[in-house]
Amino acid sequence: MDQNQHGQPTQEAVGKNQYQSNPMMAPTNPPSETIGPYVTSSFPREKQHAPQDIYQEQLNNFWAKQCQEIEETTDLRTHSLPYARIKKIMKADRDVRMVSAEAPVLFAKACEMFIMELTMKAWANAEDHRRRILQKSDIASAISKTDVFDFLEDIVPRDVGIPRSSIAQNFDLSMPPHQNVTYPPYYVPAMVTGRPIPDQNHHGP
Amino acid sequence: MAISLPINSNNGDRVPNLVLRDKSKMPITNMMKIMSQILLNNVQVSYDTMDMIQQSATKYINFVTRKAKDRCQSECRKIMNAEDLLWAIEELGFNDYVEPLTTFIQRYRNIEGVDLFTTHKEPISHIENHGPSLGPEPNLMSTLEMLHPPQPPQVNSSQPKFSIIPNTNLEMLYPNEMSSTKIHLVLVVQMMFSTTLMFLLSSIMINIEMIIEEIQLQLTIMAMDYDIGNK
Repeated sequence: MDQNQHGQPTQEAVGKNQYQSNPMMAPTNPPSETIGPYVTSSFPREKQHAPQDIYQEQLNNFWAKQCQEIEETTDLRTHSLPYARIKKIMKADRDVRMVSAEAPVLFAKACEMFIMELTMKAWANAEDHRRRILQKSDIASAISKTDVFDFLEDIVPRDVGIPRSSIAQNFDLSMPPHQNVTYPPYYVPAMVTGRPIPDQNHHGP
Repeated sequence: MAISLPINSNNGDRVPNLVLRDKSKMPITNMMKIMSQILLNNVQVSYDTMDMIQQSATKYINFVTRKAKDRCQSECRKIMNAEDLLWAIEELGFNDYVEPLTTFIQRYRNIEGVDLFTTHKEPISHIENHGPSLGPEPNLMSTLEMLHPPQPPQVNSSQPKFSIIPNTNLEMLYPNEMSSTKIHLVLVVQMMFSTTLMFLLSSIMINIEMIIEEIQLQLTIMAMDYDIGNK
């Protein structure tokens, strides 16, 4: 009930500085098998921590690179995702009737960054297991490790072998360090029991 | 303030999800191009993984759109704009996305501001559109002219007719013209006609004889049956 007070709607978007340290990512899975030197000479030859160092460095540089790419790009019309398709997906919801011209443009960039982030985390998991092919289990583990990806739990196949209890444990463990970030509670369980209407009305007006 | 939402909104959310999986998804070719910027050259992606990321991207748009819709409804606005999406993205926890997207949309407005005002009612054109969703419509031919040249049928009404010349004609021709060639022609025609007639008559007689034999056989069979019936 009171958890949604932090999310007040403000028209001015304020970005948070999380490039130095990213508390959302907490790699707790140690590499199970380390056979031979895998990292190139440009990195220190620590067998256990080498992949994680590469992963952390790539993740920290990702958002900085995104800002640089946006500032350096001269032609913003060249997009890799079609606007008409995005608009069609947005209008799949019957309540959404009119969409401004800028919304699909913004969504194209947001979706591009989303795909990059998901791919990057899945690839980190694939490298932990010494594989060169991205599989469903890599995507599934990337989704289970990240809190903001909880809305993707229903597309994670149960054949991959991630039990619901581990997802619940991940969510419980991640609550204390992320007190500022509040999520709608109806997305945590797999069964949707309805939308908490009075919770959204607090920060509505 | 208590805003009452309709009960059917929950039921309506399920139908578009089924439609989304069948018809509208993010194109895989464009997604592969985005993923290649992150992955190395020797890393491959299986088909199941691509399908899963495709569903994830589609669900991400639905997720953010649904959140932005709540803000539009609370403020009684019908048009969803970029600020609503930025607010929804921040509310849902994607804090790292807000700063790049804010910079992006500001630069987009500075560069494309004039074009947006001029083309207010027209869709934005794609310079490099890898996946064109709206193809050109083919125009059907309304008038199909089938040319039929008139061909008059050719009917030859000329038929040769043979007439038997009686003996009186021979007497008339004989004293008038002393040519023997015509007499020979007349004789040849008579002989041919007579031979043809004899051939036809003989064939008819053969048929009649065959019919008579069959009738006799039938009569004998009927007689035998009659005798058996009496006994």
